[in-house]
Amino acid sequence: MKALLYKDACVLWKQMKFMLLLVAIFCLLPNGFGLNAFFVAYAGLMLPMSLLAYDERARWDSFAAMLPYSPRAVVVSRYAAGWLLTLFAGGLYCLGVLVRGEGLAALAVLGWVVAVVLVCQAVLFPYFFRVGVEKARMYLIVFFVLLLVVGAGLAGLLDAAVPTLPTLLALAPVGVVVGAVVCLASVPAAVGQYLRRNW
Amino acid sequence: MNAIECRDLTKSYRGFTLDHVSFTLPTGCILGLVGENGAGKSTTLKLLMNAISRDEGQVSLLGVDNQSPEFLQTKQDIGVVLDEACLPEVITPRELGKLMALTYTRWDQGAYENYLARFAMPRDKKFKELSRGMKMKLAIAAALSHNAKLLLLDEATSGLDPMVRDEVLDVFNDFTREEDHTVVLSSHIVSDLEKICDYIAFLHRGKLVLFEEKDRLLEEYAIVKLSPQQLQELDPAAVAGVKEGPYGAEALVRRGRIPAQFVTEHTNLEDIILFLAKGGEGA
Repeated sequence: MKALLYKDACVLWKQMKFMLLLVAIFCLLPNGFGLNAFFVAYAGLMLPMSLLAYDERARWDSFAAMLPYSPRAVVVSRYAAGWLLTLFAGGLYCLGVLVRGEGLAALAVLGWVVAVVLVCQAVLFPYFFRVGVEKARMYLIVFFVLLLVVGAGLAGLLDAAVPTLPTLLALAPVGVVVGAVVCLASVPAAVGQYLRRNW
Repeated sequence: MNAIECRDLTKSYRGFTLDHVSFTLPTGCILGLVGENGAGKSTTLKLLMNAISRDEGQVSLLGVDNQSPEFLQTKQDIGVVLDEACLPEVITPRELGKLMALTYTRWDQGAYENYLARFAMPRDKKFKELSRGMKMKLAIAAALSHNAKLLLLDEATSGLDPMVRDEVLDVFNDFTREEDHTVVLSSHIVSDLEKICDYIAFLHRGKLVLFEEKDRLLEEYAIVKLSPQQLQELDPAAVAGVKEGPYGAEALVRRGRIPAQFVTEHTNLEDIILFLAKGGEGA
């Protein structure tokens, strides 16, 4: 798996340097229109997807399947790249919060964003391994529209329940833990999909 | 020991079926896998490495079932080169060395450096900036630098100019000087295969039309030029393929099955393949 992470690091640094820089700047800048949180989500979801797309374009995935990497290593390395990128952006977000002296509310937002990112990884990654990211892109719009509808529905319910800031703060770590558990639980499913792929 | 044992290997896609392919390749040989584009050569190689799921069949490489957990370890003994090389666009030969050192437990950096020097490979040029020939040479250098016993090469010489092809074929020949080293080379350039192969497997529309020792194949088959009437008189079992023209016919025949009065001409692998493909029958 070290080899696969090394390959991802090379690709990230050389092909997505600009995106990494953008993530770093927006995570550190003063929070405006929720852009910091958006870029944490971007780092955790879109950058791993771009890594997969670059692999597919180079047909690296076909080659990797011939090399002595276990299916589990191939899948876990991709999840690990997603987690490390989320950690990178989340860490910068925290640094920004600390430097700007923002309150705990900003950290609660981060917690909920990370939870959503982890759940999205859990849902999307197995699908990517089954059909490939290029084909999966077509269905991503449907997925994100569904996510918005569900999110808006939940927000409506929460409004009705009038959650207080302390409640949201207290629940944020729970959200992260639930997201992490769901994400980890999806790994065997992703390995199963990877073994059944035909591309 | 056999390097490859393949029984009834079957895989169906929409519009294509690799149909019950069976063959056994002894260790120490070079097998040429020939066939038109879309005949199933790449699919066969992927199935040999268990890189895609199969519908039916059994495969063992270097004595290990390719669906057993031990096969992951066996992959350490197998070098692979795919057409287009399939490496990340931005990786440099230097970085590829590091990547492969983390991949193969018996990675030989010295051997890799020697190949890079032999191929005059720039160390810090991105993969996408290399010419097609250089890309293939880089992939071959990586495949040969971990003490592999079996090389699987998918169209490794296609798209290369004749000089580079010759150089690459020399490298494969050098590799098989060790008696336990085996090579499978898929190509539709039959002349390359004729130069270096011991065995020829001909895939046509997903079926293995023939699997034979090359020398035996060249001994067994001959070309005869005939009138339409002479063609009618020939034992159908002796004729493997026919090309009919306005002034007569040319047939690929089995030497041992035709009457002595027929004048036979020496044939080459390309003719045999073409006749068999057009004749649509097995050897």
